[in-house]
Amino acid sequence: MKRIGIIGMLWGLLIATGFYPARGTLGVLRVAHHVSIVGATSLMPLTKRFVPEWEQKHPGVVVSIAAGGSWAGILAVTEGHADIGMADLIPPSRLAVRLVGYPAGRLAVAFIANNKDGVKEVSESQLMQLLLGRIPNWRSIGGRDEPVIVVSRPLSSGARAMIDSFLPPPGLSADAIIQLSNGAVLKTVRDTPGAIGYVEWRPGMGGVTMLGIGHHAFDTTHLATWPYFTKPTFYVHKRASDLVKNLAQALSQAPAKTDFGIYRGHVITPKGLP
Amino acid sequence: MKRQMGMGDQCLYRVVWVGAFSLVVLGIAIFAILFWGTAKFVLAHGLNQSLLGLIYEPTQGRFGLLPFMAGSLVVSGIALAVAIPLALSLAVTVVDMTPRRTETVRQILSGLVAIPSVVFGWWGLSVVVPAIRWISGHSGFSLLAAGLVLAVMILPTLSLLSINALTRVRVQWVEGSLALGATPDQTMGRLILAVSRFPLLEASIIALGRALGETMAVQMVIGGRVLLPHGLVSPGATLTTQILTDMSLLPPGVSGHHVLDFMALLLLAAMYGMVVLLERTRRMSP
Repeated sequence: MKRIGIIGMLWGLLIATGFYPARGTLGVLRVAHHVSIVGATSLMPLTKRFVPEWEQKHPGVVVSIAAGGSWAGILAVTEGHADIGMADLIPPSRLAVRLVGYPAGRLAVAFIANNKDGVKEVSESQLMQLLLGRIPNWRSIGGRDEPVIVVSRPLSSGARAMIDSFLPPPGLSADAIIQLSNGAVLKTVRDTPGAIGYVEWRPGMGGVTMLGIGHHAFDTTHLATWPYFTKPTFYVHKRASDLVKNLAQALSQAPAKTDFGIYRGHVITPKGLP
Repeated sequence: MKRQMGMGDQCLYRVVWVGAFSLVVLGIAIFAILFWGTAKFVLAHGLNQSLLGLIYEPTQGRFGLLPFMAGSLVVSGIALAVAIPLALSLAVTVVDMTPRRTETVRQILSGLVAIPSVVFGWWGLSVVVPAIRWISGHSGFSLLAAGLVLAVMILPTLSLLSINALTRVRVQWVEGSLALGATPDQTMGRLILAVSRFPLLEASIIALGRALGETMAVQMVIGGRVLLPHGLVSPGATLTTQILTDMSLLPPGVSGHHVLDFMALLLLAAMYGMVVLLERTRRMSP
């Protein structure tokens, strides 16, 4: 019985801790507002860096951030499960009518190849054939004798949606290796001879060949002219509170976004996205 | 005679009882939610097309799950095929040849059991995948890589349980066997291992359960290819890794979401099958 008493006391203590009227995370029940952000992994680093600063300016507001992919972010906001959805794909019109988007700019999608593949640029047609799995060996386009291994993101990724939108049916090679994050794609391509993949570029990415496509070289100092990009956006519900809209807008205009590869694009003809 | 409890004790007893009861309710609720989702999915898409289907394109309404079921079975099979002989060898070596160090080995193995699975996944990505790439000439991301990572992951658990099984054999029996003229090898093979066969089987089932349910370490090295694998060194996917991959594509409310319930229910059924097998093995054990 003594043991039951001790367990009971511990439970009591634990529950009481939740009601303790302290500042910060222990006093969660005293928090005036809770804002939840869900969505694209590509926007996670920016959001994680910006939110603590914003929380300091808004005492009593606690912001939670969770990944899950662009598609999950859009749906979570539409269904009312989250306040802000981070996404780098354009929502379908049936959902878009219920949302307000705060665009952050553009995020370049770079096509990367292993350094040993021996190819630095391909034509747009060759790129499509590579991603479709119709070019089995790099030798046939002037590279080394290495089998082509396509590395991709899952269907829920915004970058994948951009790729799928310009590939003809049946779409990306069924033999593609699927990795869940940008970082995992980069590591796989860097470590695997013969690999080709795509990443949403951010400073610090290296150890791979950034492929030039057609007459476009991937130049990080002139990203505005690169035709392959996604449009990272913070979505809120039309009926969202002013506080939520304020946070979404502040996130979309955060000065730190350039540190994460987000830039303001000029008007050019984009590939894939309207 | 029933002991009288004070008011405070009675109160705490009820709190604990409610806690235990809520666990049962939680278990039933999980099963009910998965079953409900599965029923909706099967009514909409049919059972045969899912269980026996080879094409998985959730955005096109095609949900063939056979590649993932095959992936789960193959990966778990490789893990057990590699881990069981190694664990048994370790257990026999420790119990028979270095009995004084049994406790030390147990402590080391207990430490290894506590390593998070993501560490094994990272090790697989850095060591196993490049090794398979070097040997096979393929990408290295494969069912074999996943199986080997799982084998290393379940090895400490399996070894620990095997050592426990072998040390449970009565000393008198072992001494009797040796006194009757049996060699140490004969005693090990015909007595100790024979007597321990059910606990060893039990250990294997527990290890299989862990292998079948593992997600993160497998996801990091398996490659995520959704077609039926055509060899051990080709990429593939398991039920657990595909649930992880598609959770964000098919959240609640999206057409096709219930395929995740179906996959989870298949895993639950497999795990329940293991538990039943475990109980039967325990009952058969002398």
